[in-house]
Amino acid sequence: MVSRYLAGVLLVSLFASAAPTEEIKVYRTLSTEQLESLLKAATIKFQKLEDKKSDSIFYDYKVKSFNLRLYFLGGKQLLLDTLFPAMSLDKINQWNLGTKFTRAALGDDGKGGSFTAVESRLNLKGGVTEEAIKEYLGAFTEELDQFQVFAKAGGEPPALTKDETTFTEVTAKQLEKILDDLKVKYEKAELDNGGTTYQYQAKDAKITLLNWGKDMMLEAHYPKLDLAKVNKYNLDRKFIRAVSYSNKKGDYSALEANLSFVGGVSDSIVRNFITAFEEDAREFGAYVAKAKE
Amino acid sequence: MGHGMARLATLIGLVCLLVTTASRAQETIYTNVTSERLEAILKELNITYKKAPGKKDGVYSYDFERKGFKVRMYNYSGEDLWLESYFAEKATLEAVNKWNTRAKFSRAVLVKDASTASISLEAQVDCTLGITAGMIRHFVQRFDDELETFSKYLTK
Repeated sequence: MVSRYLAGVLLVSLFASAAPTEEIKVYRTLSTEQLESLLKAATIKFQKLEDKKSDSIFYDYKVKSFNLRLYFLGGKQLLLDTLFPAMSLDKINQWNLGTKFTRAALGDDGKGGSFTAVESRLNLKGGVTEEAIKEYLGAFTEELDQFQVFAKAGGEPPALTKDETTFTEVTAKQLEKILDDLKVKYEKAELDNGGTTYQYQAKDAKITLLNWGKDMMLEAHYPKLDLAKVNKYNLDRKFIRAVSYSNKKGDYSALEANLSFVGGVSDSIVRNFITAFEEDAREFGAYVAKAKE
Repeated sequence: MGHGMARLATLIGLVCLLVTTASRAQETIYTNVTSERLEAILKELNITYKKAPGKKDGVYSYDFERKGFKVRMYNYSGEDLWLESYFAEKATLEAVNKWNTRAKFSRAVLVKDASTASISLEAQVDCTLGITAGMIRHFVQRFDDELETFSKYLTK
């Protein structure tokens, strides 16, 4: 989408009249007036405080449930931070290993208590636009949402966001690369309706992957279960669909899962979907085996 | 090559770029969908919802109407999203299984309590596998189509 937008902009520029283009202002330093103007434009209601150092000024404001402090460091850097309850150094390290934009640190309040500070710094030295500053402010809040979830999670920290190339259609070539990367040995066949199938043996099940370009399906076949047992499986599970069939292929029950690409998927999303289904297939196989006892 | 031809050649090149890059983008992949993110998407879709806490911490439900159908969406601690709508007609295992033989993006489940039986038409997405904002939007919008098709299926 970014490339398409960029190409569109270039097209318009090519055929536009020779009107002068608008200059984008780049800041290498900021005055407090400029920063305050930017905060007001972002509808941020702040309280301005001054530190003992003459060129350190704080802007305290609230976004969602977070109390943020924006440090104006001599006009050359901005620092955002907020405080959370103290957490273990291990957990803080887990956050820092996974994050790209913020960092967490254990702090001492000087009164015998501790806290976790989450912060992010923006250096203006290389030049930043107004848009970049707005993005910095917004992105910090987004990471705080993630940190809040992470702070509450009991076990493994939730994985953080990442940027990837996404696509709304998956070609046979793309899918085959994903299967090759997963070391899946498949047998490929073309469908009459234009799709492609890939049959492969996972650890505990024979799986068929059907790719129609805009969506895909995974299925595994098992001895046929009665409808009550199939329904119970669906009642107790998520993300899959257990179905019983009587057709030209015979009588069987199938476990199915579908992924649409239309909303935009990445290689990792497709890969994770394929991997997760193997576990689903294993569990359904165990359920069928037990039901047949 | 004259100026006009050079312009035309550049235009053709840019159109080719548009076509080849049409389906690709650089996007953020989330593995947890916060309430804030989900609610922002519901607002983008002009969905007016009633939010309520679920039985467990971190679970929230969103009740709204789509094309005349009552829909409930669950966000299970940001890890998975669930859409459901209930139907009282033809609440049999056969009707449910027949729908499931042809469904792609939903499933029907027979739900029984002591006195009644109904069909839950539902769809879930596992956010921990990775999800984009576009996928969430499409997940909600596509369920509208499933609802309409399922309703017609039940009346046949």
